[in-house]
Amino acid sequence: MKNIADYLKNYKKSKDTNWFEGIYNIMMPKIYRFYYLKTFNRELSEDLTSEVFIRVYSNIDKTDLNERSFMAWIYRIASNLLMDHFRKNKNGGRQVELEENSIMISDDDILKKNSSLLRKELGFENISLLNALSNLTGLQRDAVLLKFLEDMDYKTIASIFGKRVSTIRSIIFRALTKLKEETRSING
Amino acid sequence: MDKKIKKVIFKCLILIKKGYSIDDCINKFKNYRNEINNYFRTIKNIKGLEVIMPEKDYRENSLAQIMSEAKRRDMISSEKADAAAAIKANTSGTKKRLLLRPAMIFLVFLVLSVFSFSGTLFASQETVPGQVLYPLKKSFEGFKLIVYPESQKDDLHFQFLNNRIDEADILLKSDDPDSDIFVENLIDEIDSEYQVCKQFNCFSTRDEDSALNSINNIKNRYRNRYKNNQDNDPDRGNSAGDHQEEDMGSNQQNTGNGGQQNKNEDGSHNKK
Repeated sequence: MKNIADYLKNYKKSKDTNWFEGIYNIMMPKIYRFYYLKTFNRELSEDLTSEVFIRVYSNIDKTDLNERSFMAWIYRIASNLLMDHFRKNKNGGRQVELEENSIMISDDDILKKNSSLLRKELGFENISLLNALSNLTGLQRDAVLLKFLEDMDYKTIASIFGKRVSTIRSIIFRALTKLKEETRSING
Repeated sequence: MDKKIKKVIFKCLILIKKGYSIDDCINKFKNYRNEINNYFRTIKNIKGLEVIMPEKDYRENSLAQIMSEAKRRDMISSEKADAAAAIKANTSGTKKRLLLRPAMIFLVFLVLSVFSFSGTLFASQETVPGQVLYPLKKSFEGFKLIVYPESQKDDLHFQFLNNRIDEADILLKSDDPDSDIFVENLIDEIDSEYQVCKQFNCFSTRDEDSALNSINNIKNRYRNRYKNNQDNDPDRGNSAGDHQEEDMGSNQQNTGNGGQQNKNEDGSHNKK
């Protein structure tokens, strides 16, 4: 099975659209989840996801075709689009934390508020995890989700956040420990 | 303890990535069985969030829509880029024109100045003493003397002599009594120019008699006019008398009819 690096190589070799389809099939669910866990709005997540890939298709020449750089780039696009959306809509009445040089857009309450929606729409029953996730900092939450939900390696996560690998490893372990303790205490 | 667990968890994660199971990891680190189980249960719960997926309709149709939209935007942006390039090209043309403008202005100014000066110089050639452009005529004669080759100097001096005679003739024809002083000066200049002309052998190829006739004619007319003026105005000065003794008759002792004609016009030559 081909990965992102293979499709990027394919893009260098030929200018057909197979590379884009491959990248889209791998990255689309990840970008969609990135948006959904921050907005809990299906339509908005789909629209923003589409916009990310339109920009990827149009601007692929302007980026480094190295896998890690590409991943950092695509999450940067996703993050900037979400920030633009919140700015345009005055945050939808919600408090949103925008951090410089980070993909984090934190809204601690949104996971708690929408846990029932997640259970209803997606059948996701682990409410305790959502509550525990909402108690993490934005950086901890994004890093732990990229690592264990999106199977991203530490170096790629470090390049997305612009931090050192050792820092990212510590952040992820601390977040994982916190999640483990909170889900265990809630579950009793 | 935390550091040790951290190492164990990261080692287990590496093993699982290599294809080992959680049980393999637990067997390897038996003392941490419970911790490993708890951590990996949490990780499994997080992995459960993979159920978050866009709807089927979006999954199936979005790719084509995205590509078509991306191509449409690329086309628009390339058109915009072309338009921007065209505007830039026009702007750079305008900029070039703007940069050339001072040079053009200078060139036009230069051409106008040259034409204007040439016109003024040309106009000055017809002037007589007392007129505004006369100094320019004299300066231009001085300039000619500097730039003309030595072989043509006799032509120049002969021309200057004729110029002075013509100027005096014009002034004498005018009824302006104030022109007397200019005529008087001109007569002095005519005398000196005549001498210079002789030094440059102007008359080796030209008719000296004719020139002398003209000179004496001027002097006689001036003298007559002076007399008339003195008769009408007794207070007027005696400047014309200075030239009564400077007739060119002595210079034309051996000349022909011109000198004779001059003698007949007034008696000053005989007097000398």
